[in-house]
Amino acid sequence: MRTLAHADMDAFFASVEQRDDPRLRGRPVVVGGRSARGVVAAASYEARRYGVRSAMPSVQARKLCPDAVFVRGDMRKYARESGRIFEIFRRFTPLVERLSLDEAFLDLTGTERLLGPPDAAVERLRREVRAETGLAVSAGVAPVKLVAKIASDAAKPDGVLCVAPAQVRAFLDPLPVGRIWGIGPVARARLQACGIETIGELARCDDARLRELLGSWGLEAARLARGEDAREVEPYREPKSYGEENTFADDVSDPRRLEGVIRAHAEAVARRLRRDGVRGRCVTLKLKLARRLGAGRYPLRTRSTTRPLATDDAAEIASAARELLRRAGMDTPVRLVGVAVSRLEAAADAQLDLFEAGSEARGRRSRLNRVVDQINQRFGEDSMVRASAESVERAALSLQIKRGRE
Amino acid sequence: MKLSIGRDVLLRGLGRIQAIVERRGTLPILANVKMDASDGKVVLSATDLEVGITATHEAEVETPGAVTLGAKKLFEIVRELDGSEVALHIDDAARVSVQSGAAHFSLLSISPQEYPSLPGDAGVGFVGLESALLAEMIDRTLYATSTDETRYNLNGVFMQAEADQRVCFVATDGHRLAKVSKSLPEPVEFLEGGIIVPRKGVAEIRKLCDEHDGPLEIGLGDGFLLLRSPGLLLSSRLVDGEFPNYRQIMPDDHSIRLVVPREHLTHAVRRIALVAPERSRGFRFVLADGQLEIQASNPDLGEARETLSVDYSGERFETGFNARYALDLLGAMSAKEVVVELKTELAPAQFRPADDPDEVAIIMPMRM
Repeated sequence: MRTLAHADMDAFFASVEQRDDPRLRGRPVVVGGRSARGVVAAASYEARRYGVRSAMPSVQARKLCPDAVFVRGDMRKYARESGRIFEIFRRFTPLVERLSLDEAFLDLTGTERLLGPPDAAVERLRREVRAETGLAVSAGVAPVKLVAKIASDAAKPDGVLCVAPAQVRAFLDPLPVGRIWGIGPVARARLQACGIETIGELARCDDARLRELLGSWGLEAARLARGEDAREVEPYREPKSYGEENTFADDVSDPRRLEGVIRAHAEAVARRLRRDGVRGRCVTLKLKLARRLGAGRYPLRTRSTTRPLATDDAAEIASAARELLRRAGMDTPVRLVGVAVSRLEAAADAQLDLFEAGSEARGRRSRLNRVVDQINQRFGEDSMVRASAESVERAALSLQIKRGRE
Repeated sequence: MKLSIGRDVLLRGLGRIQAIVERRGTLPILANVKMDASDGKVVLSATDLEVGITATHEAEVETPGAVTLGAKKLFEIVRELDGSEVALHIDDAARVSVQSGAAHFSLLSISPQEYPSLPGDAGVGFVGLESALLAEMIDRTLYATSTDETRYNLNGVFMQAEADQRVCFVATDGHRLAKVSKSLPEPVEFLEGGIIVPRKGVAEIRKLCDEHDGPLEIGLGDGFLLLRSPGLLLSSRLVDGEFPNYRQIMPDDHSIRLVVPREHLTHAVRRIALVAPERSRGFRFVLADGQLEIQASNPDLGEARETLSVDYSGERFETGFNARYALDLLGAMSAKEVVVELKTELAPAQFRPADDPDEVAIIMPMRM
């Protein structure tokens, strides 16, 4: 029998904002875009009282809670906080499975002699997160993932709920079937039509009937309903590609602006490649056109190019992606642009190349990248960035102004 | 068209073109062989537009004419025929009858008018070359060509004339390079600028070398390399690209020089590489007093090492290579001993047969 914990930050983005800005404390805070297209990324508990939920359109959130303070959100800051929090998680067990920036499974099996009983260990984990980041985390402890996740949700805000192996069935039985992963509105309606409302009723349903209702997935759902969830905590999944993308607030057709964004994405991708010690040979450009196909559907264009040498250099990635943009011959505005690098290989253990195009120059750039990475690690991300045409123009202008004053 | 041809003659003619015809091509006719019959002979042609071949075979021709048939299927059929002669004639516009012994086939054909015309040898100057020499030069280099389409200029063998009536063949995939240079009985002027012959063309030339003992002729047509022997003309389109300046990366000096028994080194690398990581196939090449140690380690498997005694007395020297590259180059050589020349850990390593100064192979190390 395993001991798993599901740790989930309470209203993570909103809590970070409230922590950093005292004026926001005690007020309904919504993190997310204000624009017509914006969605709620996170809502503080004060805002949730009005029915504001994450993933809800901002327009609707504003209607529900006119007093809410909208904050644009700073993903970089959240990622930094997330890194600190996961470091704390890893003090308790190396088996930490990251589900998102603010949510993780921890496998605490066999840690009792070191950390004490799981409820005490989880309480200590919550105290340490609170003390070091000022943020609240809720946790559920159970023998299987599904139950741990439901328990952490039930423990919110700022609580712990432990479900012992013997209590699993009693805990699950009264809950609505929709709490099981994979049972969405359609399956729920189908089950309800047959009088199956709770997880307990689903657990007791016979196989033939389930197969009829939900197909082979029905049997799996019933197993989950009985608290049988064989999924293990997977500490790390090796990524097959590294990508960055963004949706514009307004549709963009200016190639210079697109190229600027591509450059920024390439920088971010390259930095992550270098951080993880990998390089990639295939560069992909992803474009979502502004022309609408139907509700929420837009034509997606992806273009890829495979290069002779694997790279982790932003300039190389950006130039490949810009070339793809030119070749794509875009004549309609774009609402989303993304850059990804795949066909990864380890940067160490590298086969050296005989003719590496300007191998001297490449070596120099790679050393430069390393230094820039070190500076950014020490002084914070984006302390040092590669100059773009616009930033050079701006710098030249300000230099002129200064000289004029002298 | 109506003719009769020896079954074995036809089978050999069809066998030769199997690797040339296009299999999954966009143009269906390129999967066909074209047969042109005129007094006393039939000419078989096949091409994928990159490599083309025309070969003349003796036949009893009753009525001249031309036809194209699926090359693979016709080959399979002729292989299974047990008569000594095969009779072919056009039934109607779209069908050809093939008859041998008591077996009879009626096959669909495509009009020969649609068949592309192949480069000819009219007006081309040819130079004679022993087929054994040509075969050897190909064997020493072809393995090192690149299959990476993003490096299309490396997808073939570079052939260039050198001083003193010599011709060199060079192939590289960017990680390793092989070069061989041989003296020819007459100068090959058309190779002065150098040409890149694609892998497939070189492989077909190599096959013809086995078929023909004695001299072959090579010449340069408009964008094609031509190979000629009596009754046969092979053409290979050239790679339209620039071969990298390989001379620039050829090591001109070394700090370490070893002489190693080739077979011994080959077996050691093959054995030790069994535990090398699947993806990189990297092994360590470590020199210490009087010995060369081949090492490999794999986090999922374990480690392996083997020592060879060598004449070395310098400081400990350690570098790494891809086992596939090392085995390829050792396998392409035939000398009993190889000379290994090294400069620094990350500099190109040079291997050459101890008995042949005209041949060299270079591999770039791995950073391990």
